[in-house]
Amino acid sequence: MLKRRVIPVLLLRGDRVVKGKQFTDYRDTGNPVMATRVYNAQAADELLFLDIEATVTGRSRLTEILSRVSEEAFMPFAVGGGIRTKADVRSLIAAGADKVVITTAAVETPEVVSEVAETFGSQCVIAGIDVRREDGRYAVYVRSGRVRTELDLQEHVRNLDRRGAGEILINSIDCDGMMGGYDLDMLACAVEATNKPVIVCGGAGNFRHLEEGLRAGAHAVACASLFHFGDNNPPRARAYLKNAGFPVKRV
Amino acid sequence: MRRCKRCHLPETYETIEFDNEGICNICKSTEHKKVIDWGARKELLDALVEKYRGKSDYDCIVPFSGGKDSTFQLYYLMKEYKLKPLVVRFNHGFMRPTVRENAERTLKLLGADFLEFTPNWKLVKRVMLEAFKRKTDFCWHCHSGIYTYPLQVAIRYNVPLLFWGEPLAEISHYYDYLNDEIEYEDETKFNMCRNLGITAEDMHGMIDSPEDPVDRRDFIPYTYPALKELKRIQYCSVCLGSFIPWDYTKNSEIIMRELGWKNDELEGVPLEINGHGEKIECFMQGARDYIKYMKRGYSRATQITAFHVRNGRMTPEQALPYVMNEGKRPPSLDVLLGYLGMTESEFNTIVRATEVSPYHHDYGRTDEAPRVWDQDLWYKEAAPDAGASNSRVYLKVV
Repeated sequence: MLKRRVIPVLLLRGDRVVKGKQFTDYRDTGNPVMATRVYNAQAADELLFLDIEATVTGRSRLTEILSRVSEEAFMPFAVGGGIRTKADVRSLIAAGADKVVITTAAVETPEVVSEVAETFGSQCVIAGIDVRREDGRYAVYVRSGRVRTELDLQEHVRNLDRRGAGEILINSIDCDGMMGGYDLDMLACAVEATNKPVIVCGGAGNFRHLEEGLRAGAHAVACASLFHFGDNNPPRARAYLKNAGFPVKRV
Repeated sequence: MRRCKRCHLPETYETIEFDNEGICNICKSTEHKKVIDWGARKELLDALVEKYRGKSDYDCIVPFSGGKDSTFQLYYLMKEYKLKPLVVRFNHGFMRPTVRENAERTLKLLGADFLEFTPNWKLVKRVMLEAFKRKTDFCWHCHSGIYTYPLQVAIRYNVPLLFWGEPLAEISHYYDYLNDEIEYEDETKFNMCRNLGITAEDMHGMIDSPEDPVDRRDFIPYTYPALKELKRIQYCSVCLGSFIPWDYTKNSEIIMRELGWKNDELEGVPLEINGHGEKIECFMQGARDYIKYMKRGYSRATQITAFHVRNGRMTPEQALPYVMNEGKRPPSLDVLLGYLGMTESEFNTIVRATEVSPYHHDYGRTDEAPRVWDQDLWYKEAAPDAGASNSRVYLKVV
């Protein structure tokens, strides 16, 4: 049985890591290299870096930070933010990333998902989906939550699955940073549409929320505020989930 | 809450896991402590001591608060091995009178050189507030400084061997006795479970702002030395408790008998279960333990009786009344609120947000722990008036 994973999310802005609420109102949470060193010491299952300014600014700074991060990270780490082409992916992998998260391009030029999966393997491709709940349905957003699309959530998930994404990262903009729990209906909606592992993101504020996410079908639970703004760390989360009966990494 | 059937530690205790019989992993680990070949471990210690003896101005560094564990460390190393240590204290700012007297007596009776470092209080207050708002743990400066500063001294004095005290395997499952590990106090352990996951580099950026700049150099005492610096002196930073079986009660009996070390009241904990003098070195301990209770539903009395149960000095039945009767509001909370510059209701709002599931704290509780004898002697700052509006500024950023 696949182990369930707890994945800390690090949002890069400039040379620092930040965390906000609903994709805005960001607060400094540390230095990306030192944060990686800490999560490495705590044997986090994986790390997820999202460069929140990448679609706005350049990316040479990102690859420089990543190469320093990769010196510290003995766990797999994924990188997202502003990835448009196979060449972007190649440079991130060269800088040490194990996986990439493709969100905006997965909507605007979905063939890039297939190309990356064919070249680097599906295990390398996480398809990201940013979602807002609107009038009782789920709307898919791109460009850091600024641009609304007309896509149907389940249809989008099925499409990404067909194009070879290895995992789906589904993120609720409404719940982001609010620490009130994941949007479990949104998660269930995504899980129903694919057999690929689904990573749920946005809203975890305590370990019970992680448990709820896994019970609702997530293979992995991603979280940021939980670790930044609470007396929590990955070993404590793993112990909690183990007591709740989930298979987790033994450290 | 689910609790260990033996020691009563609850499921909100960090890194706890239960087996099929409902016994926790910390109890299991300390069972294994009994079958470790401590004779072989002692030989390892002999070899380690001889490897470093006489090679620098001091044989080793002993980080030292004057509490029960560090006093025993120092006593043991000087009596058993006749080592010449440099004793180093990072003063967290909350030293109690009895522990000051204990430390002075210990150092005079044993005859050791002593360095004490006390960091900038204004910075300490700022990081206390920041760490409290983020982690509901106001002790970041102490968690970090007590582990980083002695290593910096080691580098400056070129003394590679450092002896710390209790093994973490006694109190959590970040490390355990099952793997027969020697616990190195290294940067991995520091980042894993000492510094709240916040390094000095992180903390500096969190509190530095154009309106209220912080000098990066103020964080040097809290910065873990670079690995290449530590390798240059060929450092070896270990827990004495990995080489000799650590027994809090016995160790305290020895230092009381041989050094006249004195116990003290510990706020919120009945004296009859703390005869070994746990945590009496810090006057913020009661407030710290209270926060733990509000978040996790257990506190110091439960931890102390858990040790006694594991070591066969109490039965689970004898421990239970202490476990069920803790969590009273400590008078030291008022002193802490003065340092943090917040009202109790603001304090409660922050703590409530980090409650650890499935515990729910009863904020209607009004029972108070007795005031300890020395509270009037502590340094204090005034807390804001509960009605004052300027104190609200602290809540906006939470």
